[in-house]
Amino acid sequence: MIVGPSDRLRQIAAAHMLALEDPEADEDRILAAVAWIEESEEHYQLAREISRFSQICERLPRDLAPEAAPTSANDNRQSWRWSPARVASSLAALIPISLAFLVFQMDPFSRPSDQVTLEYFTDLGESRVITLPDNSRVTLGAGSGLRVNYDAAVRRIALTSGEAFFDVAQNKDLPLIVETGDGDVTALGTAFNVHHAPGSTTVTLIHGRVKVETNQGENGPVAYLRPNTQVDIQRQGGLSKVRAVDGNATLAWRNGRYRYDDTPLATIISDLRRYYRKPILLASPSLNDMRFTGVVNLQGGDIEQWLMGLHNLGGVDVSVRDDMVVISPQARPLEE
Amino acid sequence: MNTNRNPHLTLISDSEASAESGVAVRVGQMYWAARDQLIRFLLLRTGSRAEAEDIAQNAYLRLLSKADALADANLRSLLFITARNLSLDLQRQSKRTRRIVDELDGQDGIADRVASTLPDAERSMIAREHIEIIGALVAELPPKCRYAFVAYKFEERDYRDIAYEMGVSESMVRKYVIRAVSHCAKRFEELEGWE
Repeated sequence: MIVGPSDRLRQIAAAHMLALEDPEADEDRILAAVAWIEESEEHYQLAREISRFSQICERLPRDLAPEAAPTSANDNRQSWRWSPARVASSLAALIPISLAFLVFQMDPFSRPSDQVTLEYFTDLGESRVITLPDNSRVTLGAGSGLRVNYDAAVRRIALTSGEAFFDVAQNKDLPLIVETGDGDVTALGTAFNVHHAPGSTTVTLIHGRVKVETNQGENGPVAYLRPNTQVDIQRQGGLSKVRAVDGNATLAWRNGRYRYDDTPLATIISDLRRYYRKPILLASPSLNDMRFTGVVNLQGGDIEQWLMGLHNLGGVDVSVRDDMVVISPQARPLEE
Repeated sequence: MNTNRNPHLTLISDSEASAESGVAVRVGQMYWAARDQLIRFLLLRTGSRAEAEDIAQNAYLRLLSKADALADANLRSLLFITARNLSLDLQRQSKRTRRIVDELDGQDGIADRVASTLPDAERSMIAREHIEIIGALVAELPPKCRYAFVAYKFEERDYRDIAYEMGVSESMVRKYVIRAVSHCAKRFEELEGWE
């Protein structure tokens, strides 16, 4: 373990925090810990990092916690059991043992396997930023699911529903592939957005280069995106034409709103469903292709207001009930 | 001599010029001046602000109830020491409760148990990830460091016990645990930075 200057300070914080939970620590020791923590904001924040990690460890149910399986105390060849069978069968996720590129930091006597799998979910209306083991950052939109699978040869991420923005850490030896369900996006050191809509998945490139393919892979159509272009991977197979777009407008969701330009209502409702807690029902397929241009803010109250506003645009009836919102075609014809 | 042991009455009544109520007033003044810092400190020792405020309050009352014995003592130091002792009691109590809950839940599936240990569904999803991440972080540690940390943190054994088993000094075990906690806390922050 390489130790830098702030690491030394963090170890001091850890020493003080451990003293605070040691029943045998005497009063001087406790007061020294309190004084150190109070000395500066930097000290306090390091202590807080320690505290956060410790509390999470303490909340794990006992038998899911890591096990120590030593042989003799002086034996360096200790093997670590992590009870994968029990946990994996219940959680349906592989337990990570180590990451290929972290092997260099590890003691040679440990026995890493060469794969890691992590899963992330977001709730309705909740989006979050996740830092992956290779320092790629993913902003996961609301109501979305991500599965990360890294091994020695390739970084694989599955975004099977919802939306995410990927900021990929540069590594030309280790390609990153995002599997969208409709097709794959291969990237090296880039930033791009993946959006699931009814009927297709849209990939928008912000910077770098990506290759977009359908599930037919090299046997089917392939698109190479340049910054500020996007393409749809059709659910039925095939790619749309690549089109120019304002990449940053596509990312407006990260700031809590969607900008729509002549967008079908079905797509809009599919997005809003991930941010709004009541079910939204489009009562007739004839509504799917109604087009809308404008901005929808994603706070709960704003979404409801927008839906009610839709009512006044004409052509639709919007009924906001306690348990759901129903959008149906208006009985009378549109007035111009 | 005032035999009234009720701390509130001791504070309110100022007709007695005895040293006892003088100390009580000083305790009160010290407490209100130190309270914000104390709670900030206690947030490092408990899971929630509510618990921190609770312990702060109890530490204050404890000090008041011992007012006659305090005299020249450094009141602020005593307050913090009392507060940390109370936080330690709470910590032990939670561990005991969790052990009992774990035993009783022995029959349930793992996912249910994670869910039942935590109050709401969202946090149980977070717990699933934490289990995986903590496993990965612990695996990053060198063997002896790892062993000492797992024994201390998850098997709740004491330093003396672990030192005996590992054939090293107690201070070595503490060093291992410090290194482990420091490394894992840093890595955890890197992996789980919330926006």
